Amino acid sequence: MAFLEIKGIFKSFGSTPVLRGVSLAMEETQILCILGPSGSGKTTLLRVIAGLEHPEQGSVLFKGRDLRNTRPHLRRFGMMFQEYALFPHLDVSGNIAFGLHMLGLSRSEIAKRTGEMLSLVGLQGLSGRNVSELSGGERQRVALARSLAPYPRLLLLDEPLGSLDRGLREKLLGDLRKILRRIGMTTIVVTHDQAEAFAIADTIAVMDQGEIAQMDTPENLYRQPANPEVARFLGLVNLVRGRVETGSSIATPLGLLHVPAHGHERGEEVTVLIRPDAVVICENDESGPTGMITIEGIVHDCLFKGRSYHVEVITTGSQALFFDLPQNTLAPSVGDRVRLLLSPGAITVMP
Amino acid sequence: MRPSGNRAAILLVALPLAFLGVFYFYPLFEIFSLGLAPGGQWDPGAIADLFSTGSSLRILWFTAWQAALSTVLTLVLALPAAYVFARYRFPGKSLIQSCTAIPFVLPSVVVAAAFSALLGARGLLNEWLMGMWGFSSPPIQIEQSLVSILMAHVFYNFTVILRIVGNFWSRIHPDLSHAALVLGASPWKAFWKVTFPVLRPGIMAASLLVFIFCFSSFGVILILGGPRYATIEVAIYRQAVHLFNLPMAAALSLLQICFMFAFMWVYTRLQRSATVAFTPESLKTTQRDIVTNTDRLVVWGTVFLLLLFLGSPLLALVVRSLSTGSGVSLLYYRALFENAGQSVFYIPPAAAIGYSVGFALVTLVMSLCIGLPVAIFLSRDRGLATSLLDPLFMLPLATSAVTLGFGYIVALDEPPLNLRASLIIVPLAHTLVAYPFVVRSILPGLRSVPAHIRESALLLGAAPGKVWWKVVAPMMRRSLAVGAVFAFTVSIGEFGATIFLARPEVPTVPLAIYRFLGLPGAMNYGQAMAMSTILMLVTAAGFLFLEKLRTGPEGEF
Repeated sequence: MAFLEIKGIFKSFGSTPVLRGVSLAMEETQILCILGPSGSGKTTLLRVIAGLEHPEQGSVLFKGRDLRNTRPHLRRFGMMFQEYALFPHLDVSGNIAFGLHMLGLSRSEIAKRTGEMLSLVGLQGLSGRNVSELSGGERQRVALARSLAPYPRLLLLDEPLGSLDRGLREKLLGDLRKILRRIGMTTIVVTHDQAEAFAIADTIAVMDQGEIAQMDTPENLYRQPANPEVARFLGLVNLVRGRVETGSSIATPLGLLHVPAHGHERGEEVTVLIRPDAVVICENDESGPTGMITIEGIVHDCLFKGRSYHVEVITTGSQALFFDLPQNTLAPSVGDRVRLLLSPGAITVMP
Repeated sequence: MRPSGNRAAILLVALPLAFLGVFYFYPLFEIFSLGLAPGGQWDPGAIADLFSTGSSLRILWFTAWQAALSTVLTLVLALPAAYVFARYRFPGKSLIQSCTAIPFVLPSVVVAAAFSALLGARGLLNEWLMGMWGFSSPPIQIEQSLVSILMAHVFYNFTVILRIVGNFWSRIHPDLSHAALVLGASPWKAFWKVTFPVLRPGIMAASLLVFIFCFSSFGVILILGGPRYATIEVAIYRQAVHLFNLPMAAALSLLQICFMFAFMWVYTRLQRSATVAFTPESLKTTQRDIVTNTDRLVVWGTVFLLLLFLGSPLLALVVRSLSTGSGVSLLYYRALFENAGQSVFYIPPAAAIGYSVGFALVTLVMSLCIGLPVAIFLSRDRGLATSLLDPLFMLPLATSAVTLGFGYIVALDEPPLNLRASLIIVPLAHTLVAYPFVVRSILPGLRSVPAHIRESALLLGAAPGKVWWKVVAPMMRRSLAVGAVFAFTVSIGEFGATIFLARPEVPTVPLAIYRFLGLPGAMNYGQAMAMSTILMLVTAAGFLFLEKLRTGPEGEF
């Protein structure tokens, strides 16, 4: 029996469907990330799990028990809201202690637990501080401490780093992951940022238009996106339409590509994904090592990005492809005709 | 600031300061000297009487508790509506919200007449019940009772709570109470432990404002309460006009002035605390559309009850003014314009309309003459001068109209300023009541003219005077119009000061209504209804015009 199981959730606001049959399951101590563009329904899904929204269909099961009739304040799920929703009339420790008061703990227990939480998130000195005087990062930590304090059975984080600036995000992301791992908290994180999802999650569920498009480990997701939408959302933009010719070749505007097309029928329309890394520029006319695929084209743009060059190549089939070349290679100039060598591993075939 | 600029600024406020000195502080001073030294010598006998006789204490006690009870009732009834307006988006919302404010701007005589038209012995409901069920006497007997006073106060002040608390509430993110729920608080606990404490400054400020209005209520108590009930305001009027006990009236006025200043001081402090504590959210995140059937029931149910409560007295007024013994007709309206001979007036009521309009126009001009220079002066930060003069110019707001009217009759009745017999005394009092509103209407507009626009006009070669005329003034047209309409509306409905000052042969519309209401006979009653309807339409039209013109999402109360 799964720790948390979600079965066929449908939810719409007025005539706009937001969730269209979402199902997923997760185990204890797992960190699941729901990744999707804005408007994909991920926040609504989180609010359904918390009990703040009621689905029209489907159910949320916690350790096999249906939570349909369990109201939000009795679920004992912690939730961190997008803008943190700190109580402005309470100070830092008052915020953290709120859930503990609701549990009916004694004064000394509350003080002890509040202290523990403050040191867990590294805010020992700020207990009496007014929440309006906190920086963005401090607010995030107080919100985390507040949601963890009353021993929640599941933690829900809605864009936990959403409103912070870039540099701070990376630091807090690391801290967040360490804290959650240390206390073994079962967590669902909602985010629109794939880098954030890769950094924090054991499992990622990609949501698109109210449905779960793919759910897998970060590595598998990146290596084998289920469909072009998922690939695009992960930042993989070199997508080429093609038709399966034989079991190991696909006809595309780039020419015949020799890649295995397992699981696809002959004559089937497919999309070929070419990864932007794992590519080498062929300096002269020498033919590459056997098994490598070559693509010819003209360099349209070349951008130095520090660690790499971002190169746009218009191929002979007038298809625009983008590649990242290591910065220690010789940079091509705009207008050059180049030959690119791809290893078969750089190519994925999708329906 | 250059010295020449200072000199110009002083010239700017010289006239308003002189006006304030002669027509506000001098009457106030006369009240003080009459209360504390009636014969020219120190003799606080009247003040001592105030506290030694039980009747004054009873008046004070009644004034306080009816105001407190009215405030609590208004709060209880308006909070749910404030929630609905804060949390939902629905079609027609801003129009409905504007309409809920109409009672607040109506003259007190109109409100009294409207409640009489709905629930009085000669009112619609009683008439209907008697016709339908065959009662021989009116079954609803709330005229001249506390119930009608309380209802009128709730009717009046509903919008104050709805606007201030609703606006405050709409800036609080709903996730705040969701966070409390997820942390284990039941919905009830979440309200008391989170929503209510966060709302508290707004609730306190709005409640105090309602309390102040009810504490200084005059027309409603005088007309709806009848002889049994008296607030300090009504007592001042009775002591001065019916009993000619001027020292006693002065002592009561002193008491009232002290209370009003104290309340206003607390209110200003509260308002300041209401603006800190949390960062306001945008309405996009805090409001939601009507989606479920529950939403529909909550929103439209609230709107229905709201309009029923606020609309039915006004509708009854109109219906009552049109229904004569012989069916629906304009009989009462026609009667206003002819002297039937049966009237105690020796001038037709239509003349009262003429006087009211005349007074209102004079008030409009004078209020702009006083208010515009004050607003220009206050629009720039001039350091100490601004922080001293801003509250000084707003002081008349904290003084009740009755005190003002009384002050005028004790102060302006002897040379060199013998204005008792002059017609100008009425618009002078109205101007004092109206010009703070003019200042408050113009000021935001003036302050919103960005400095860089002025500066770029200067750099383009326009002299400072020309900048004002060519750049600032055109941008100000709207707020000037708002101020003008405000002054006109305040004047045309003014009752508390006018009842002291208007000569019997030159009555205003509110006075004429008050007299008609006190007379027997269907014709007099019908004419009171007809005049009230006209006054209501004029005031409501003025107000809705203001609402349309207003730039910002909320006015400054």
